[in-house]
Amino acid sequence: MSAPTARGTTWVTLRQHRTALWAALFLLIAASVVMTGVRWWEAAASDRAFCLDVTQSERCGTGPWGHASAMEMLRLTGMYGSVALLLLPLVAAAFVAGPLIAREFQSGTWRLALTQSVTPVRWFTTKLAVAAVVVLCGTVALVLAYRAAWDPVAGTHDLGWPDRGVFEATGPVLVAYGLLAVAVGGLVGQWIRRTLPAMSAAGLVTGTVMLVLGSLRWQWIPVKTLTGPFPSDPLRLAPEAFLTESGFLTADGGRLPHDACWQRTHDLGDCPADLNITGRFADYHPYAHYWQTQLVETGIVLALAAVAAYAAIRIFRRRHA
Amino acid sequence: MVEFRIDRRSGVATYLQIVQQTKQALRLGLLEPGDRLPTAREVVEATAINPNTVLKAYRELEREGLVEARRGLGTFITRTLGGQAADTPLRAELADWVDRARDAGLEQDDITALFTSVLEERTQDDHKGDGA
Amino acid sequence: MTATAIEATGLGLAYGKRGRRALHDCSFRIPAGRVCALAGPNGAGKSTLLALAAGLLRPTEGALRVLGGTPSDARARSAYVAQDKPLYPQLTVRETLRVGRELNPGRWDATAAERIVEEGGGLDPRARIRSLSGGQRTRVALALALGKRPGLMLLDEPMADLDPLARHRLMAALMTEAADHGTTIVISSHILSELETTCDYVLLVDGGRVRLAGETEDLIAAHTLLTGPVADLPGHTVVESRTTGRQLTALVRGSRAIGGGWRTARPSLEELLMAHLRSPDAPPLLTPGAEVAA
Repeated sequence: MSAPTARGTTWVTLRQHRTALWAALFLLIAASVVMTGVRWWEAAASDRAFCLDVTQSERCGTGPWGHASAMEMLRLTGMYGSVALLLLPLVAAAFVAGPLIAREFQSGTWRLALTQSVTPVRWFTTKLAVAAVVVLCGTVALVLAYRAAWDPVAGTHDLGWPDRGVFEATGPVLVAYGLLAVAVGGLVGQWIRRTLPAMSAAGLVTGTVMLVLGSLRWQWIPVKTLTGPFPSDPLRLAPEAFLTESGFLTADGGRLPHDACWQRTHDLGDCPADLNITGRFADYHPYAHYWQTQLVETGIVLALAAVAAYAAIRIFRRRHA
Repeated sequence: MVEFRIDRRSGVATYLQIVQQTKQALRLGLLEPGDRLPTAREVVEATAINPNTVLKAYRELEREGLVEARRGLGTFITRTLGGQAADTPLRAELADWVDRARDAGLEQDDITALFTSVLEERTQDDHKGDGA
Repeated sequence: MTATAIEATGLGLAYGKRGRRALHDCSFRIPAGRVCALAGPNGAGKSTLLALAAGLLRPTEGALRVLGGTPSDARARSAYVAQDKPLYPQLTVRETLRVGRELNPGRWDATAAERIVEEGGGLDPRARIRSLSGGQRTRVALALALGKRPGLMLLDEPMADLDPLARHRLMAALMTEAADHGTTIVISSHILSELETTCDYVLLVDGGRVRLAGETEDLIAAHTLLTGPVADLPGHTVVESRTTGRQLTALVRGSRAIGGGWRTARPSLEELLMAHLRSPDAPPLLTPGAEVAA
């Protein structure tokens, strides 16, 4: 990337990874164009004036350019896009650990870099900072583009706000994971010092953190509970609510799983009297918990990123300063 | 100006080669009083030898009163060595000695070997004196 | 006493968990302004010593002071060229020199660096490093080092890839640098003959220990090459002796005259170093200037 204002280690880092930066920029623009483009198509196809225009009539309704096709494309974009964005931190961690740091050690060029006038810690932190800025800008842009594509199909099958992938791809938590990836890459890259093993290890570590936090995230904000009498109609939750658990309440205040009656009678509405069922319950996260969970998780991930970055710089300083 | 040729295989210390070549140039009239010797940098650029060696050679020449270092200007020749060796009684003595050696049955090679070994021995003794 | 470029006190470095020692108990001093040959066989510890001085490795025992401070403190004022000449392969020659400028703000001398690259020709500034020959890479690596205008240059086998002409030209450039700026230069090499006329100081390491250290002239003057009839040499520290028929050739310490049909000669630097390498048990010798002040 030609960066006329870049100086010192920043210039060196940008020049060293010019090809990778151009590739990343190209992919970023391509992905943003696809996601916002499909959204534009959907918006156009649902525009009445646009549909009534005779010359454009083919683009409306159920034709190949119609609104249904646009929605289908949006759903595909949403599905694949969420997987791609979920993998983005892994790629970032692998790049930082491998080509950015470990390759310097593997090829011996660290001895060139660390015998110049800039201090080793400055060199190392500048490399990480450049990566962090690139990741920050990239993830912010991609999250905004993804939200644009996701908005019309939000809540459809597998594209609900709590779904794995969608949750990460739609909020600040992805930016935080990207920054964590940079810090993990810095830690792993100087530790393993060989390009390919470092890339694998950093990707693995980042993926594991995402997996673990992803399976814990709905426990941070306490669920809300809706109760109702039994027998009666099933409980009705708001359509965007995220149901985590439901079942029956007994007379002594205990809870029974939702299939407690089915197990005995093979009929959902027919419950044996000895179960003492007096009501139904449903534990759920309202949509308001989406932003709360995003913020809590972003905070946790940023704290982890800070710890990893601190450790990486400290270890580097102890070894090389 | 003279140009020094350094023979890396001669076994003669590099600074001595410079001293000897300067003296040779003086004897042959290639250098005359007032001439400037090349600076250490000039010698080093041409020969890739250590600059301290050049400076050591020039100090030696200065000690022998052949050159004078003028600060910021360079090192200049102050006297000649012309004809010193040719006419002195020493030459006659040496000629006598060679005749005697011939009479004793020594070949030319034997004479050269003998002369060189004595010269080396004496030169070394001198240097021990210098070093102390 | 003149200023000190490098001073090692009980310096040692052990590698790995088993503690294989690359260097052990090395104490020596290299005064500023010297061109020092770091001699020794492969694996003697030469590269380790230079990497320690460059601040790339930490000693596991003892201490090392460079230009009056720690190797890290001296980083901006010293230049290091590793044996394999590491450079970024995807960069061009011109960009590589820009790396030198960017990483040495306020010190970079573009003219000095470009002169080395241009001298001798055949090096296109737009050529990528990965397309260069070994000798051309060496020139670029040395240009990076000289562009830094260092007070101390640490060069690990710098001439190995060069043809005789390029070797002479770069050696002349290094010596000119020393003449102009009083730069201290430490050059490691296992080719001893190439160092004889360029180095006025010698550090011989072997098996991770210092065997000889000091002014070339003083070290040579401290030894005598004897040739004569086979006999004991009482009162002399014999570095090495060889017998051929009735003739004995020996390198001994000291310069005392010795009677009894002995021919004495001044050893060359190469003879001196080779004799010590062939005789690992010969005691080490440091000239007073090379000893670490107590």
